[in-house]
Amino acid sequence: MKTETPRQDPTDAPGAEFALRDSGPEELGRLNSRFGWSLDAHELKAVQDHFRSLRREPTRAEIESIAQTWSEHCKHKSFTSPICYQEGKTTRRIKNLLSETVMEATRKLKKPWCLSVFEDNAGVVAFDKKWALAYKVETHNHPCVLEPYGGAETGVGGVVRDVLGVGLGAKPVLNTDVFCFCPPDYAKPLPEGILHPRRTMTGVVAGVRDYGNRMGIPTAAGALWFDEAFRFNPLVFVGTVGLMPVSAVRKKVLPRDLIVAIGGRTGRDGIHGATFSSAAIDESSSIAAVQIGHAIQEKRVLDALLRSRDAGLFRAVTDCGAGGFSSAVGEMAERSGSKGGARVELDRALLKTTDLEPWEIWLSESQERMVLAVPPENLPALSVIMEREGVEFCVLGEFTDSGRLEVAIAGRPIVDLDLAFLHKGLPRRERRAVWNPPAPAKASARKTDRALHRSRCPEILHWILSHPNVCSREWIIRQYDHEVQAGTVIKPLQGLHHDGPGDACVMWPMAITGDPEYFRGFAVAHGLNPAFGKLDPYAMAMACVDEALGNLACVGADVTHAALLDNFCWGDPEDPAALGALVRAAQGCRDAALAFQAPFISGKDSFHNVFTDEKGKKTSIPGTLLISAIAPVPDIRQALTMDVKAPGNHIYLMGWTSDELGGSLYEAWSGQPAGNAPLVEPHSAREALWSLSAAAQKGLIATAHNLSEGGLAVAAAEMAIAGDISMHIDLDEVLRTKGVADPVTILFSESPSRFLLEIAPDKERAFLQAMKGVPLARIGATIANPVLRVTGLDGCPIIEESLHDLRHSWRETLPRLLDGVPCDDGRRS
Amino acid sequence: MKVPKVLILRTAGTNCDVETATAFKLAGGDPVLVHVRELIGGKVRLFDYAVIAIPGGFSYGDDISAGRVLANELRGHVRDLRSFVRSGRPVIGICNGFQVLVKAGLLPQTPSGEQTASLTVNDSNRFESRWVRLRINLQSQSLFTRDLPEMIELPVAHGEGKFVVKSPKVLETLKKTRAILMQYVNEEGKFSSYPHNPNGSLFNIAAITNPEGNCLGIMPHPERYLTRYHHPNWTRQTFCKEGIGLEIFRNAVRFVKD
Amino acid sequence: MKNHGGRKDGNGSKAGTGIPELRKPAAAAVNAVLERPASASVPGNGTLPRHLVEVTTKYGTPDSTGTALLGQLPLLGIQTAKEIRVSTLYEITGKLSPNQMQQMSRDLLSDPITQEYRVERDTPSRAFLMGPHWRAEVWLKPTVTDPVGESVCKAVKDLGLPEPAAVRTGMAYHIIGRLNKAQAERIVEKLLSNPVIHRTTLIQR
Repeated sequence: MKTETPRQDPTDAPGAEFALRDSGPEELGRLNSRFGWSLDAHELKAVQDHFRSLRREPTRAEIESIAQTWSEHCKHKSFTSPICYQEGKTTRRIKNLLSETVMEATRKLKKPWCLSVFEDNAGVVAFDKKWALAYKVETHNHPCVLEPYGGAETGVGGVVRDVLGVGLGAKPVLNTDVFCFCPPDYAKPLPEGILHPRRTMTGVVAGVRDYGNRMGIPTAAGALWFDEAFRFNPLVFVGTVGLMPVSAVRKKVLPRDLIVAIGGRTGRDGIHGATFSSAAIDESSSIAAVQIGHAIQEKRVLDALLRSRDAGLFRAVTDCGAGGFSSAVGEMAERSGSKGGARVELDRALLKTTDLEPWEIWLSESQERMVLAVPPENLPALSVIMEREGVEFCVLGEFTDSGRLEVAIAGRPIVDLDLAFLHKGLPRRERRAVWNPPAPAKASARKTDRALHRSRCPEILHWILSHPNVCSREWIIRQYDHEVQAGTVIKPLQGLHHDGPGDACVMWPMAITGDPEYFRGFAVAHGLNPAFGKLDPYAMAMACVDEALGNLACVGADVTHAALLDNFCWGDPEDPAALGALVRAAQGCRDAALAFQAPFISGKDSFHNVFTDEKGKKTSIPGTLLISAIAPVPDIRQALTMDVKAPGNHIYLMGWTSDELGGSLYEAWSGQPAGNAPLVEPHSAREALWSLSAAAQKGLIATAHNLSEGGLAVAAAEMAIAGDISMHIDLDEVLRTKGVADPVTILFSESPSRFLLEIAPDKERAFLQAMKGVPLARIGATIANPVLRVTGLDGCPIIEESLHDLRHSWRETLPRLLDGVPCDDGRRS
Repeated sequence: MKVPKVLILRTAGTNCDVETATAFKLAGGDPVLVHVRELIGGKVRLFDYAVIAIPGGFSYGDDISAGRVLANELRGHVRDLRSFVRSGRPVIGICNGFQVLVKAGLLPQTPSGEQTASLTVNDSNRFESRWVRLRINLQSQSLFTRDLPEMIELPVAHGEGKFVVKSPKVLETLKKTRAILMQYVNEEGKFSSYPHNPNGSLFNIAAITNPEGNCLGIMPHPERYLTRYHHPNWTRQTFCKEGIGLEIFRNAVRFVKD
Repeated sequence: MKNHGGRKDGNGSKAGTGIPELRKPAAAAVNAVLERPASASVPGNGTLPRHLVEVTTKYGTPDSTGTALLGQLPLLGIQTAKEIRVSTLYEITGKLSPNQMQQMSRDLLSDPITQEYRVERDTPSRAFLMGPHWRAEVWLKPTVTDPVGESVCKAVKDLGLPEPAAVRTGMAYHIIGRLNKAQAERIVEKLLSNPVIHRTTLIQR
């Protein structure tokens, strides 16, 4: 079809039922809510102005294309629009929050091993000279509210396709999963249409399991957090790491390249997924966005795609995610030639049903589809591979250099949009953000509490070990095939009986690189703590980065080459307090990244995690930040696990312990505010972390474990449980800041940047040499007697608990909450 | 000496093909990934290969029951497979591959080729991914386990691994022909229940062979234990084992070379 | 077999009226027209015969899915159920003879060692004879893509049989024990189905 001249005659345009040009704001708003575009008044006005200037009415397909391209999901408008930020008495203007915080750190750090950041479907860093790692973490919260199993499945499917669609495609080698749920034993009434948290959780885990297992991707790293505030809006983060040749990192599109869609057929699935995720959940949420995944279809696509990539048959690939063809083709069209452009004939699309409206075909979010840019001469070779792998494909059209996105069906044009308007026409509106720091808790009251709790330390320890935020995740992990591809050399469950909680997993992609004498691998870890965020989002961001990087160091990764990913899940961006918290968190990300010299390479945000009930009362989630970190492990033979290795070794505690119990598990136990959230001192923390990482890689450390939720007591118990060898520690030896003088604080403070290390006596000297300048104290020794012993500041024992009992407390929680049966795993110490 | 060619059969949903190929490569073989369509279409001939491996995964999604659809394909369109087994060349089916061999009637071996056993949903009703201890039947004729110690460890990862038989007679025959190759045991080498027997298999059966010993069906994954670094306990000071899984592949290649 | 396909969204509210006889779910035709693979959209397709196959674990063998579900009931506050038996349902649309249906059920849809099946009016075997129970059927709504159904279509063709125009899958749960209707409904609603993607029926027999 020839469309060099834009159509002038509005009667040509089907769907001209939108008399947009002459509508008042009220009428526009009515159309917006009726058709579910999720555009605001300014955006509607911009669309109206655009079509006024064209002197014609839009088609439905055009408005739908614009609505999804401008959606929160695709444009991150809350994060990139101007903000007027007020903190205490000072006010300042932020032009683009994302660019001024998270991305600024990456720009300033200028790491040469960052190969592709914030531009493609995933962030890409160098693995070695030949290979690169792509990592992407997505959220799929809104679909999981309505249908946890299908929502989780399609979430995994989507993030896997992101990695398949980065550059020329990467082979997925690791999946990660992080969940925030309401506790499964929640007993209060829930409104109609909201699933009980137990169902949400079991459904989500089953969805992640079935999709990942069927795709043959190990799910080996994750985190789990429970808080009643997630009862209406659970958070489901899914991530994928892919391995690709460095030569496949870049993609390009040339005019005349064919637009080839491969994989599943297009049906009426998930229409409006992108705009749906921009809308808050209410009791009448649309159900059109719910889908079930088809993992084997996607596995076929994976097999066919990577074989075509290795044969050099296409120049670019992207996934069909939110917005379907409109978004995939629209994105790739931007890359074509100097002006970009694409011409599509929708009749060629392979359909599941014949009764789809043209705009539905264009916008459908049917799963398991990818779009390729194929030079015409390669089509025959491509079709051979597709046929063998059982993958259907169709040629939708071709890329052009017209600067326009042109779509027709049966010779009838349905979209003719200026690419520049589509991608850059979104009006930016300033939002207001306010941050008021909460008042600190009173010190005197806290002191008396802690003195009283001194004798209850064993009880507190058991309570924290069995707390859902600390307890064993074995119930989940065993359902994931975390060893497929034979690369998981440090597994999520560690120790003598394979039941200890690993800090991070280490992957050794030997089966892919093919060389068993090449020992380079990589590690992936997470940091997440919404409880700190309730007190101070800035402290939360710092603590999350600190935890994620600390976890990496504990398995022997090279943290000087660590890269970070951010995932913000927030409430309503129109609420100045929520947006203020976001600004704080984003600033924390920037400061932490700069201090730890770890760049962000990719990120994602999810807003509107708010529930409105019948009476109009809103419930928002606490602002939640997930930090995912990835770093190379130069030699997997030096990787570490967290289980105590042998009796008679020294136990060192690295880092300072302060009175930082705000947001801690101890605070949850006591039910009283316990002070401020821990604040990372990033520069000294970075130096210490780098020393630790170097010492671990030299093989000087037998065991390392990061102190996180539950502090020193929990870390010691976990190491002992995992190794089935215990330890005796003396609290008086712990390095502590001024004013810390009671065992409760030392045992349960969640001060950041601390590690519990086991050092063999023959390595102690070299270890101390390597750790010069790092705050470090020998606080005890490992013992054969299976009893965890802790002596207080006065030298009297305050904890003497058998490992058997500690293990029981730690392991029984999830089976009890989810199966209704006590832990039935036969092993006992 | 000639490097034996190994056919690694794959189809939609096969996902342990790459590491199985790596295992055979490290064992001294020449693995080739072959799609089942190439076999059905006649592009590839089975008898051009010295060894056949059916790797793990979820062939066709295991939507109906694990391995059923691929087993039907092989039964219907790859008739050579039975004569390949009869020719005495090594055939190994791992996890989903074992399910396929059983449902195609190749294991347990019967004169009529009917299916006499099955691998069904785990007693726990869940996918189970864990390391297990196995006791090898040293009396067996299996060429795959030659010179292996009696007790080994391997990982399992499956949702449908519970071995069941049509009638007690089938089990008797298996015992009599020394076809039960591996059984799940606990740390002391004794039969034990969950989690040592991760799926509730009859007689704790983890792997079976044909009486001649050239066709192996195994639920655990030897291709995931090629080096010491695959074992969950390799970081412990006292750990001194090498990747025992590799020996199974070495035996197959060695057998063909001899 | 009884399939209350006519009630699109019934989550058991009007259940309990069914007569346990075996017949084709004619009413389901209305729903199935809404979504059908393009290949099947030839005129007159609405009259294609529909077959129902039900596959369940053999009599006397434990049903681990049912056992796991039973373990969940106390969490819903229901202590009186004694057993749950689960079967898989296939609704196959296409011109297939009774023999072909038997072949498909035997060679593809069921396992000869662990499972039994019945096709429509087939004489029920012992596995299908249960004492008084509630039978809940849970089907994916016609608008939701059914990946298992798609796989079955292809696998049937591979057996050398005519490819069905459509296959939809569902589950049937037989809840045995002293339960009132409200409790049975509660199980269906809280454990077995999600009204967003499922349509369900519940009958007592």
